[in-house]
Amino acid sequence: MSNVRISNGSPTLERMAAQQPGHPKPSACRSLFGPVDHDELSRDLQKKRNESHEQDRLRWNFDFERDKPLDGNYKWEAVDFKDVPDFYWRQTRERVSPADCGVDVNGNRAIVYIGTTVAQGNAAGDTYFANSERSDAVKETAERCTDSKEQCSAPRKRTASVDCSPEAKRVTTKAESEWSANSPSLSAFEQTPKKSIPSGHHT
Amino acid sequence: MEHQLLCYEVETIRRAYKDPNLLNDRVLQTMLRTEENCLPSLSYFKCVQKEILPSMRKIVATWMLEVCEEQKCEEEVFPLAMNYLDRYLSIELTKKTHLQLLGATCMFLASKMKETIPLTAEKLCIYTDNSIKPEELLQMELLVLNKLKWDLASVTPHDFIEHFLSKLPVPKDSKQIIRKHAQTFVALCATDVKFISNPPSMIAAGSMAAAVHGLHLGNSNSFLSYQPLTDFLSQIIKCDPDCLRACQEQIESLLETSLRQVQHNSIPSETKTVEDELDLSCTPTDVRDVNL
Repeated sequence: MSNVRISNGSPTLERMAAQQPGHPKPSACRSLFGPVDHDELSRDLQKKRNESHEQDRLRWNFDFERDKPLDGNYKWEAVDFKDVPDFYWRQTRERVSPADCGVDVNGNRAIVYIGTTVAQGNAAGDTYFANSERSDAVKETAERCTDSKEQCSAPRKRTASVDCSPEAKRVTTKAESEWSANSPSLSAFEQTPKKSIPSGHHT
Repeated sequence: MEHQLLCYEVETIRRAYKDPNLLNDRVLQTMLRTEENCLPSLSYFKCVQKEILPSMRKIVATWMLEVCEEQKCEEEVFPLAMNYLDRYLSIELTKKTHLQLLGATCMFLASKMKETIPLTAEKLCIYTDNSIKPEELLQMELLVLNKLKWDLASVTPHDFIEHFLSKLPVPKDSKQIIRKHAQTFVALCATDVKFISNPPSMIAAGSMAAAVHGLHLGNSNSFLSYQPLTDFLSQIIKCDPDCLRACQEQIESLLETSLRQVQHNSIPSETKTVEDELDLSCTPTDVRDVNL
Protein backbone atom coordinates (compact mmCIF):
# COMPACT_ATOMS: atom_id res chain seq x y z
CA MET A 1 0.00 0.00 0.00
CA SER A 2 2.79 2.38 0.78
CA ASN A 3 4.89 1.72 -2.25
CA VAL A 4 2.00 1.79 -4.63
CA ARG A 5 2.51 3.48 -7.85
CA ILE A 6 0.34 6.19 -9.15
CA SER A 7 -1.99 5.25 -11.88
CA ASN A 8 -1.41 8.18 -14.16
CA GLY A 9 1.86 6.85 -15.40
CA SER A 10 -0.16 4.97 -17.94
CA PRO A 11 -0.09 5.73 -21.61
CA THR A 12 -2.69 8.24 -22.59
CA LEU A 13 -5.76 7.23 -24.43
CA GLU A 14 -4.67 9.10 -27.50
CA ARG A 15 -1.41 7.30 -27.57
CA MET A 16 -3.10 3.99 -27.24
CA ALA A 17 -5.71 4.83 -29.79
CA ALA A 18 -3.00 5.94 -32.15
CA GLN A 19 -1.42 2.58 -31.83
CA GLN A 20 -4.50 0.88 -33.07
CA PRO A 21 -3.95 0.65 -36.80
CA GLY A 22 -0.79 -0.98 -37.92
CA HIS A 23 1.54 -0.32 -35.03
CA PRO A 24 2.27 -3.08 -32.60
CA LYS A 25 -0.28 -3.05 -29.85
CA PRO A 26 0.45 -3.48 -26.21
CA SER A 27 0.52 -7.17 -25.56
CA ALA A 28 -2.48 -7.03 -23.29
CA CYS A 29 -4.76 -5.75 -26.06
CA ARG A 30 -6.50 -8.85 -27.18
CA SER A 31 -9.84 -10.45 -27.63
CA LEU A 32 -9.93 -13.57 -25.52
CA PHE A 33 -12.88 -15.63 -26.61
CA GLY A 34 -13.46 -14.71 -30.19
CA PRO A 35 -15.66 -12.03 -31.69
CA VAL A 36 -18.61 -10.72 -29.71
CA ASP A 37 -21.99 -10.76 -31.35
CA HIS A 38 -23.15 -7.27 -30.51
CA ASP A 39 -26.79 -7.86 -31.38
CA GLU A 40 -26.92 -10.89 -29.19
CA LEU A 41 -25.13 -9.08 -26.40
CA SER A 42 -27.48 -6.17 -26.58
CA ARG A 43 -30.45 -8.54 -26.50
CA ASP A 44 -29.01 -10.31 -23.48
CA LEU A 45 -28.34 -7.07 -21.67
CA GLN A 46 -31.83 -5.86 -22.47
CA LYS A 47 -33.28 -9.10 -21.20
CA LYS A 48 -31.42 -8.92 -17.94
CA ARG A 49 -32.37 -5.29 -17.58
CA ASN A 50 -36.01 -6.21 -18.02
CA GLU A 51 -35.63 -8.91 -15.42
CA SER A 52 -34.29 -6.50 -12.89
CA HIS A 53 -37.00 -3.97 -13.80
CA GLU A 54 -39.52 -6.66 -13.10
CA GLN A 55 -37.91 -7.48 -9.77
CA ASP A 56 -37.91 -3.86 -8.75
CA ARG A 57 -41.49 -3.51 -9.85
CA LEU A 58 -42.57 -6.43 -7.71
CA ARG A 59 -40.45 -5.42 -4.80
CA TRP A 60 -41.71 -1.87 -4.56
CA ASN A 61 -45.06 -2.36 -6.28
CA PHE A 62 -44.27 0.59 -8.43
CA ASP A 63 -44.08 0.79 -12.17
CA PHE A 64 -40.86 2.69 -12.59
CA GLU A 65 -41.19 2.74 -16.35
CA ARG A 66 -44.45 4.62 -16.29
CA ASP A 67 -44.01 6.18 -12.88
CA LYS A 68 -47.20 4.68 -11.55
CA PRO A 69 -47.88 3.03 -8.24
CA LEU A 70 -49.26 -0.50 -8.29
CA ASP A 71 -51.14 -2.56 -5.75
CA GLY A 72 -49.03 -4.16 -3.08
CA ASN A 73 -47.42 -3.76 0.29
CA TYR A 74 -46.41 -0.19 -0.19
CA LYS A 75 -48.97 2.56 -0.34
CA TRP A 76 -47.67 5.25 -2.58
CA GLU A 77 -48.71 8.81 -2.11
CA ALA A 78 -47.43 11.63 -4.22
CA VAL A 79 -46.57 15.01 -2.86
CA ASP A 80 -45.91 18.26 -4.59
CA PHE A 81 -42.30 18.41 -5.54
CA LYS A 82 -42.03 21.82 -3.96
CA ASP A 83 -42.69 20.22 -0.60
CA VAL A 84 -39.54 18.18 -0.72
CA PRO A 85 -35.99 19.46 -0.55
CA ASP A 86 -34.65 20.61 -3.83
CA PHE A 87 -32.14 17.83 -3.59
CA TYR A 88 -34.77 15.62 -5.13
CA TRP A 89 -35.60 17.74 -8.10
CA ARG A 90 -33.04 20.39 -8.73
CA GLN A 91 -30.90 20.12 -11.81
CA THR A 92 -28.07 17.92 -10.84
CA ARG A 93 -24.49 18.88 -11.26
CA GLU A 94 -23.71 15.93 -13.48
CA ARG A 95 -26.30 16.65 -16.07
CA VAL A 96 -24.90 15.64 -19.42
CA SER A 97 -26.45 16.25 -22.74
CA PRO A 98 -26.79 13.34 -25.13
CA ALA A 99 -24.37 15.05 -27.45
CA ASP A 100 -21.79 14.55 -24.75
CA CYS A 101 -22.11 10.86 -24.66
CA GLY A 102 -18.55 10.13 -25.66
CA VAL A 103 -16.69 8.87 -22.68
CA ASP A 104 -14.61 11.56 -21.13
CA VAL A 105 -11.22 11.38 -19.53
CA ASN A 106 -12.40 9.68 -16.42
CA GLY A 107 -15.18 7.70 -17.90
CA ASN A 108 -17.29 9.02 -15.05
CA ARG A 109 -19.58 11.24 -16.93
CA ALA A 110 -20.54 8.62 -19.35
CA ILE A 111 -21.65 6.52 -16.44
CA VAL A 112 -23.92 9.22 -15.31
CA TYR A 113 -25.27 9.62 -18.74
CA ILE A 114 -25.98 5.95 -19.20
CA GLY A 115 -27.40 5.88 -15.75
CA THR A 116 -30.06 8.30 -16.87
CA THR A 117 -31.08 6.47 -19.93
CA VAL A 118 -30.58 2.92 -18.94
CA ALA A 119 -31.50 3.15 -15.33
CA GLN A 120 -34.82 4.80 -15.81
CA GLY A 121 -36.84 2.78 -13.48
CA ASN A 122 -34.17 0.21 -13.34
CA ALA A 123 -32.52 0.29 -10.04
CA ALA A 124 -35.42 1.10 -7.81
CA GLY A 125 -35.01 4.77 -8.35
CA ASP A 126 -31.38 4.82 -7.58
CA THR A 127 -30.91 7.68 -9.93
CA TYR A 128 -32.36 10.93 -8.93
CA PHE A 129 -31.94 12.21 -12.44
CA ALA A 130 -35.12 10.53 -13.33
CA ASN A 131 -36.83 12.56 -10.68
CA SER A 132 -35.61 15.85 -11.91
CA GLU A 133 -36.60 15.00 -15.39
CA ARG A 134 -40.01 13.87 -14.59
CA SER A 135 -41.39 16.28 -12.13
CA ASP A 136 -44.34 16.70 -14.43
CA ALA A 137 -45.08 13.04 -14.45
CA VAL A 138 -44.75 13.04 -10.74
CA LYS A 139 -47.22 15.82 -10.36
CA GLU A 140 -49.57 13.97 -12.56
CA THR A 141 -49.16 10.94 -10.40
CA ALA A 142 -49.76 13.14 -7.46
CA GLU A 143 -53.15 14.11 -8.68
CA ARG A 144 -54.15 10.58 -9.35
CA CYS A 145 -53.01 9.06 -6.18
CA THR A 146 -54.13 11.42 -3.56
CA ASP A 147 -56.96 9.09 -2.71
CA SER A 148 -54.77 6.50 -1.11
CA LYS A 149 -55.53 6.71 2.55
CA GLU A 150 -52.67 5.27 4.43
CA GLN A 151 -49.69 7.47 4.23
CA CYS A 152 -46.59 5.45 4.33
CA SER A 153 -44.06 5.83 1.70
CA ALA A 154 -41.80 8.47 0.42
CA PRO A 155 -42.76 11.41 -1.71
CA ARG A 156 -42.04 9.63 -4.91
CA LYS A 157 -40.45 6.68 -6.44
CA ARG A 158 -37.47 7.44 -4.38
CA THR A 159 -38.94 5.50 -1.52
CA ALA A 160 -36.80 7.45 0.81
CA SER A 161 -37.45 9.35 4.02
CA VAL A 162 -39.98 7.02 5.58
CA ASP A 163 -39.11 3.89 7.47
CA CYS A 164 -40.90 1.44 5.27
CA SER A 165 -37.83 -0.61 4.74
CA PRO A 166 -34.41 -0.39 6.23
CA GLU A 167 -32.90 -0.09 2.82
CA ALA A 168 -34.94 2.84 1.83
CA LYS A 169 -33.90 4.44 5.02
CA ARG A 170 -30.31 3.79 4.36
CA VAL A 171 -30.57 5.37 0.97
CA THR A 172 -31.96 8.50 2.50
CA THR A 173 -29.34 8.73 5.13
CA LYS A 174 -26.64 8.48 2.56
CA ALA A 175 -28.21 10.98 0.28
CA GLU A 176 -28.78 13.38 3.08
CA SER A 177 -25.35 13.17 4.54
CA GLU A 178 -23.93 13.75 1.12
CA TRP A 179 -26.19 16.67 0.70
CA SER A 180 -25.52 18.25 4.00
CA ALA A 181 -21.85 17.71 3.58
CA ASN A 182 -22.05 19.76 0.44
CA SER A 183 -23.92 22.59 1.99
CA PRO A 184 -24.19 22.35 5.74
CA SER A 185 -26.13 25.54 5.97
CA LEU A 186 -29.06 23.92 4.26
CA SER A 187 -29.21 20.87 6.43
CA ALA A 188 -32.15 22.22 8.32
CA PHE A 189 -34.04 22.60 5.10
CA GLU A 190 -33.42 19.03 4.23
CA GLN A 191 -35.15 17.86 7.38
CA THR A 192 -38.46 19.34 6.36
CA PRO A 193 -40.10 16.46 4.54
CA LYS A 194 -39.56 14.05 7.36
CA LYS A 195 -41.40 16.25 9.72
CA SER A 196 -43.96 17.73 7.47
CA ILE A 197 -45.09 14.68 5.58
CA PRO A 198 -46.36 12.62 8.47
CA SER A 199 -48.09 15.53 10.15
CA GLY A 200 -49.61 16.68 6.91
CA HIS A 201 -50.92 13.39 5.67
CA HIS A 202 -51.75 11.19 8.57
CA THR A 203 -55.45 11.01 8.78
CA MET B 1 13.66 32.08 -29.59
CA GLU B 2 10.35 32.55 -27.95
CA HIS B 3 9.92 32.53 -24.25
CA GLN B 4 8.14 29.54 -22.99
CA LEU B 5 6.57 28.78 -19.72
CA LEU B 6 7.81 25.67 -18.12
CA CYS B 7 5.46 23.82 -15.89
CA TYR B 8 7.18 21.89 -13.17
CA GLU B 9 3.99 20.69 -11.60
CA VAL B 10 3.68 16.99 -11.80
CA GLU B 11 0.31 15.48 -11.58
CA THR B 12 0.65 13.22 -8.62
CA ILE B 13 -1.98 11.54 -6.63
CA ARG B 14 -2.32 12.84 -3.16
CA ARG B 15 -2.52 10.20 -0.54
CA ALA B 16 -3.70 10.26 2.97
CA TYR B 17 -1.18 9.32 5.61
CA LYS B 18 -1.52 5.86 6.94
CA ASP B 19 -4.00 5.99 9.74
CA PRO B 20 -2.88 3.86 12.70
CA ASN B 21 -6.47 3.80 13.89
CA LEU B 22 -7.32 1.63 10.93
CA LEU B 23 -4.78 -0.94 12.01
CA ASN B 24 -6.16 -1.60 15.45
CA ASP B 25 -7.72 -4.77 16.66
CA ARG B 26 -11.28 -3.62 16.46
CA VAL B 27 -10.94 -3.06 12.73
CA LEU B 28 -9.26 -6.42 12.30
CA GLN B 29 -12.06 -8.20 14.13
CA THR B 30 -14.67 -6.47 12.01
CA MET B 31 -12.83 -7.45 8.86
CA LEU B 32 -12.70 -11.07 9.99
CA ARG B 33 -16.39 -10.97 10.72
CA THR B 34 -17.43 -9.40 7.45
CA GLU B 35 -15.11 -11.14 5.02
CA GLU B 36 -17.38 -14.16 4.79
CA ASN B 37 -20.16 -12.03 3.36
CA CYS B 38 -18.26 -11.30 0.19
CA LEU B 39 -17.18 -14.82 -0.66
CA PRO B 40 -18.18 -16.23 -4.02
CA SER B 41 -19.83 -19.60 -4.17
CA LEU B 42 -17.46 -22.51 -4.24
CA SER B 43 -18.92 -24.48 -7.06
CA TYR B 44 -20.26 -22.09 -9.62
CA PHE B 45 -18.63 -23.87 -12.50
CA LYS B 46 -20.67 -26.93 -11.70
CA CYS B 47 -23.87 -25.43 -10.43
CA VAL B 48 -24.39 -22.18 -12.30
CA GLN B 49 -22.28 -21.97 -15.42
CA LYS B 50 -22.74 -24.07 -18.51
CA GLU B 51 -20.12 -22.72 -20.91
CA ILE B 52 -17.55 -21.27 -18.61
CA LEU B 53 -14.76 -23.54 -17.46
CA PRO B 54 -12.04 -23.05 -14.87
CA SER B 55 -9.50 -22.70 -17.67
CA MET B 56 -11.42 -19.74 -19.05
CA ARG B 57 -11.38 -18.05 -15.69
CA LYS B 58 -7.62 -18.43 -15.76
CA ILE B 59 -7.44 -16.86 -19.21
CA VAL B 60 -9.56 -13.88 -18.30
CA ALA B 61 -7.78 -13.47 -14.95
CA THR B 62 -4.38 -13.47 -16.60
CA TRP B 63 -5.55 -10.86 -19.04
CA MET B 64 -7.00 -8.72 -16.26
CA LEU B 65 -3.77 -8.89 -14.30
CA GLU B 66 -1.84 -7.83 -17.37
CA VAL B 67 -4.11 -4.86 -17.93
CA CYS B 68 -3.86 -3.84 -14.29
CA GLU B 69 -0.09 -4.09 -14.44
CA GLU B 70 0.19 -2.20 -17.69
CA GLN B 71 -2.08 0.52 -16.40
CA LYS B 72 -0.18 0.56 -13.11
CA CYS B 73 -3.32 0.14 -11.11
CA GLU B 74 -3.22 -0.02 -7.37
CA GLU B 75 -2.41 -3.49 -6.15
CA GLU B 76 -5.84 -4.03 -4.73
CA VAL B 77 -7.69 -3.44 -7.97
CA PHE B 78 -6.97 -6.83 -9.46
CA PRO B 79 -7.99 -9.04 -6.51
CA LEU B 80 -11.04 -6.89 -5.95
CA ALA B 81 -12.06 -7.18 -9.60
CA MET B 82 -11.66 -10.94 -9.36
CA ASN B 83 -13.89 -10.95 -6.31
CA TYR B 84 -16.60 -9.15 -8.28
CA LEU B 85 -16.15 -11.51 -11.21
CA ASP B 86 -16.47 -14.62 -9.08
CA ARG B 87 -19.43 -13.28 -7.19
CA TYR B 88 -21.20 -12.41 -10.41
CA LEU B 89 -20.47 -15.80 -11.94
CA SER B 90 -21.73 -17.44 -8.76
CA ILE B 91 -25.22 -16.23 -9.45
CA GLU B 92 -25.53 -15.38 -13.11
CA LEU B 93 -25.30 -17.73 -16.07
CA THR B 94 -22.87 -16.09 -18.46
CA LYS B 95 -21.87 -16.83 -22.02
CA LYS B 96 -18.30 -17.55 -22.85
CA THR B 97 -18.17 -14.72 -25.34
CA HIS B 98 -19.30 -12.27 -22.66
CA LEU B 99 -16.70 -13.28 -20.13
CA GLN B 100 -14.15 -10.71 -21.23
CA LEU B 101 -16.79 -8.01 -21.05
CA LEU B 102 -17.50 -9.11 -17.51
CA GLY B 103 -13.80 -9.04 -16.66
CA ALA B 104 -13.42 -5.55 -18.08
CA THR B 105 -16.48 -4.38 -16.19
CA CYS B 106 -15.16 -5.76 -12.93
CA MET B 107 -11.86 -3.96 -13.43
CA PHE B 108 -13.77 -0.81 -14.25
CA LEU B 109 -15.68 -1.04 -10.97
CA ALA B 110 -12.75 -2.09 -8.82
CA SER B 111 -10.66 0.70 -10.25
CA LYS B 112 -13.33 3.22 -9.38
CA MET B 113 -13.50 1.85 -5.89
CA LYS B 114 -9.78 2.05 -5.23
CA GLU B 115 -8.18 4.63 -7.46
CA THR B 116 -8.07 8.36 -7.60
CA ILE B 117 -7.82 8.31 -11.35
CA PRO B 118 -9.76 5.25 -12.41
CA LEU B 119 -9.48 3.31 -15.63
CA THR B 120 -11.75 4.62 -18.33
CA ALA B 121 -14.31 2.62 -20.19
CA GLU B 122 -12.66 3.40 -23.49
CA LYS B 123 -9.26 2.30 -22.35
CA LEU B 124 -10.67 -0.99 -21.19
CA CYS B 125 -12.43 -1.50 -24.49
CA ILE B 126 -9.17 -0.96 -26.31
CA TYR B 127 -7.66 -3.66 -24.15
CA THR B 128 -10.31 -6.06 -25.40
CA ASP B 129 -9.02 -5.27 -28.87
CA ASN B 130 -12.22 -3.30 -29.33
CA SER B 131 -14.29 -6.42 -29.22
CA ILE B 132 -16.66 -4.61 -26.89
CA LYS B 133 -17.98 -1.06 -26.97
CA PRO B 134 -17.91 1.44 -24.14
CA GLU B 135 -21.72 1.57 -24.09
CA GLU B 136 -21.84 -2.15 -23.58
CA LEU B 137 -19.37 -1.88 -20.77
CA LEU B 138 -21.48 0.75 -19.07
CA GLN B 139 -24.63 -1.28 -19.41
CA MET B 140 -22.84 -4.30 -18.07
CA GLU B 141 -21.63 -2.20 -15.18
CA LEU B 142 -25.15 -1.46 -14.13
CA LEU B 143 -26.06 -5.09 -14.40
CA VAL B 144 -23.10 -6.22 -12.31
CA LEU B 145 -23.87 -3.59 -9.70
CA ASN B 146 -27.42 -4.79 -9.53
CA LYS B 147 -26.44 -8.41 -9.19
CA LEU B 148 -23.85 -7.65 -6.53
CA LYS B 149 -26.49 -5.59 -4.77
CA TRP B 150 -24.17 -2.58 -4.97
CA ASP B 151 -22.03 -4.21 -2.33
CA LEU B 152 -18.58 -3.45 -3.66
CA ALA B 153 -16.56 -2.80 -0.55
CA SER B 154 -15.30 -6.34 -0.21
CA VAL B 155 -12.48 -7.05 2.16
CA THR B 156 -9.35 -7.97 0.23
CA PRO B 157 -6.26 -9.89 1.32
CA HIS B 158 -4.36 -6.62 1.05
CA ASP B 159 -6.32 -5.20 3.93
CA PHE B 160 -5.11 -8.05 6.12
CA ILE B 161 -1.50 -7.86 5.00
CA GLU B 162 -1.21 -4.40 6.47
CA HIS B 163 -2.52 -5.66 9.78
CA PHE B 164 -0.08 -8.56 9.85
CA LEU B 165 2.83 -6.30 9.02
CA SER B 166 1.91 -3.87 11.74
CA LYS B 167 2.16 -6.70 14.24
CA LEU B 168 5.44 -8.15 13.02
CA PRO B 169 8.58 -7.26 14.98
CA VAL B 170 10.74 -6.69 11.91
CA PRO B 171 12.54 -3.62 10.55
CA LYS B 172 10.85 -1.37 8.07
CA ASP B 173 12.78 -2.39 4.99
CA SER B 174 12.02 -6.03 5.64
CA LYS B 175 8.36 -5.17 5.89
CA GLN B 176 8.56 -3.48 2.57
CA ILE B 177 9.89 -6.51 0.79
CA ILE B 178 7.59 -8.89 2.62
CA ARG B 179 4.65 -6.77 1.57
CA LYS B 180 5.75 -6.78 -2.03
CA HIS B 181 6.21 -10.51 -2.17
CA ALA B 182 3.00 -11.21 -0.30
CA GLN B 183 1.07 -8.98 -2.67
CA THR B 184 2.55 -10.87 -5.57
CA PHE B 185 1.32 -14.10 -4.07
CA VAL B 186 -2.10 -12.63 -3.48
CA ALA B 187 -2.36 -11.70 -7.15
CA LEU B 188 -1.19 -15.15 -8.12
CA CYS B 189 -3.86 -16.72 -5.91
CA ALA B 190 -6.54 -14.55 -7.47
CA THR B 191 -5.76 -16.03 -10.86
CA ASP B 192 -6.18 -19.58 -9.64
CA VAL B 193 -9.47 -21.38 -9.24
CA LYS B 194 -8.33 -23.38 -6.25
CA PHE B 195 -8.38 -20.34 -4.03
CA ILE B 196 -11.86 -19.07 -4.84
CA SER B 197 -13.36 -20.34 -1.67
CA ASN B 198 -10.59 -19.25 0.67
CA PRO B 199 -11.42 -16.20 2.74
CA PRO B 200 -9.18 -13.19 2.13
CA SER B 201 -7.61 -13.50 5.58
CA MET B 202 -6.44 -17.01 4.75
CA ILE B 203 -5.03 -15.93 1.39
CA ALA B 204 -3.27 -13.05 3.08
CA ALA B 205 -1.77 -15.17 5.84
CA GLY B 206 -0.75 -17.93 3.44
CA SER B 207 0.84 -15.42 1.08
CA MET B 208 2.63 -13.73 3.89
CA ALA B 209 4.03 -17.00 5.23
CA ALA B 210 5.06 -18.04 1.73
CA ALA B 211 6.75 -14.68 1.20
CA VAL B 212 8.73 -14.85 4.44
CA HIS B 213 9.64 -18.44 3.76
CA GLY B 214 10.75 -17.68 0.21
CA LEU B 215 12.85 -14.76 1.35
CA HIS B 216 14.62 -16.92 3.95
CA LEU B 217 13.91 -14.31 6.56
CA GLY B 218 13.43 -17.00 9.15
CA ASN B 219 17.17 -17.67 9.27
CA SER B 220 18.05 -14.36 10.81
CA ASN B 221 14.92 -13.66 12.78
CA SER B 222 13.66 -16.51 14.88
CA PHE B 223 10.22 -14.98 15.06
CA LEU B 224 9.92 -15.40 11.33
CA SER B 225 10.95 -19.00 11.22
CA TYR B 226 8.41 -21.43 9.95
CA GLN B 227 6.61 -22.68 13.04
CA PRO B 228 6.32 -19.48 15.09
CA LEU B 229 5.17 -17.43 12.13
CA THR B 230 2.47 -19.88 11.15
CA ASP B 231 1.25 -20.04 14.73
CA PHE B 232 1.33 -16.29 15.01
CA LEU B 233 -0.63 -15.70 11.80
CA SER B 234 -3.16 -18.43 12.43
CA GLN B 235 -3.81 -16.94 15.82
CA ILE B 236 -4.51 -13.55 14.30
CA ILE B 237 -6.97 -14.87 11.75
CA LYS B 238 -8.35 -17.45 14.17
CA CYS B 239 -7.82 -20.52 12.10
CA ASP B 240 -6.18 -23.84 12.59
CA PRO B 241 -2.39 -23.67 12.01
CA ASP B 242 -2.63 -26.80 9.90
CA CYS B 243 -5.15 -25.14 7.61
CA LEU B 244 -2.86 -22.21 7.16
CA ARG B 245 0.08 -24.49 6.52
CA ALA B 246 -1.91 -26.31 3.86
CA CYS B 247 -2.84 -23.00 2.25
CA GLN B 248 0.76 -21.87 2.27
CA GLU B 249 1.89 -25.08 0.66
CA GLN B 250 -0.80 -24.74 -1.96
CA ILE B 251 0.42 -21.24 -2.75
CA GLU B 252 4.01 -22.40 -2.98
CA SER B 253 3.14 -25.22 -5.29
CA LEU B 254 1.08 -22.84 -7.41
CA LEU B 255 4.14 -20.67 -7.77
CA GLU B 256 6.22 -23.68 -8.66
CA THR B 257 3.79 -24.79 -11.36
CA SER B 258 3.58 -21.30 -12.78
CA LEU B 259 7.34 -21.00 -12.87
CA ARG B 260 7.68 -24.35 -14.51
CA GLN B 261 5.25 -23.28 -17.17
CA VAL B 262 7.25 -20.18 -17.81
CA GLN B 263 10.50 -22.08 -17.97
CA HIS B 264 8.88 -24.54 -20.27
CA ASN B 265 7.79 -21.73 -22.53
CA SER B 266 11.06 -19.84 -22.56
CA ILE B 267 14.39 -21.26 -21.45
CA PRO B 268 14.05 -24.92 -20.65
CA SER B 269 17.73 -25.33 -19.82
CA GLU B 270 17.68 -23.23 -16.70
CA THR B 271 16.94 -25.06 -13.54
CA LYS B 272 16.38 -22.78 -10.67
CA THR B 273 14.88 -23.56 -7.35
CA VAL B 274 11.65 -21.94 -6.42
CA GLU B 275 13.30 -19.87 -3.76
CA ASP B 276 15.87 -18.49 -6.13
CA GLU B 277 13.21 -17.54 -8.58
CA LEU B 278 11.16 -15.94 -5.90
CA ASP B 279 14.04 -13.77 -4.87
CA LEU B 280 14.19 -12.43 -8.37
CA SER B 281 10.50 -12.09 -8.81
CA CYS B 282 9.91 -9.43 -6.29
CA THR B 283 7.52 -7.28 -8.25
CA PRO B 284 4.03 -8.14 -9.34
CA THR B 285 5.15 -7.66 -12.89
CA ASP B 286 7.07 -10.85 -12.48
CA VAL B 287 3.97 -12.66 -11.46
CA ARG B 288 2.44 -11.60 -14.69
CA ASP B 289 5.40 -12.99 -16.52
CA VAL B 290 5.11 -16.10 -14.48
CA ASN B 291 1.58 -16.54 -15.62
CA LEU B 292 2.13 -16.00 -19.26
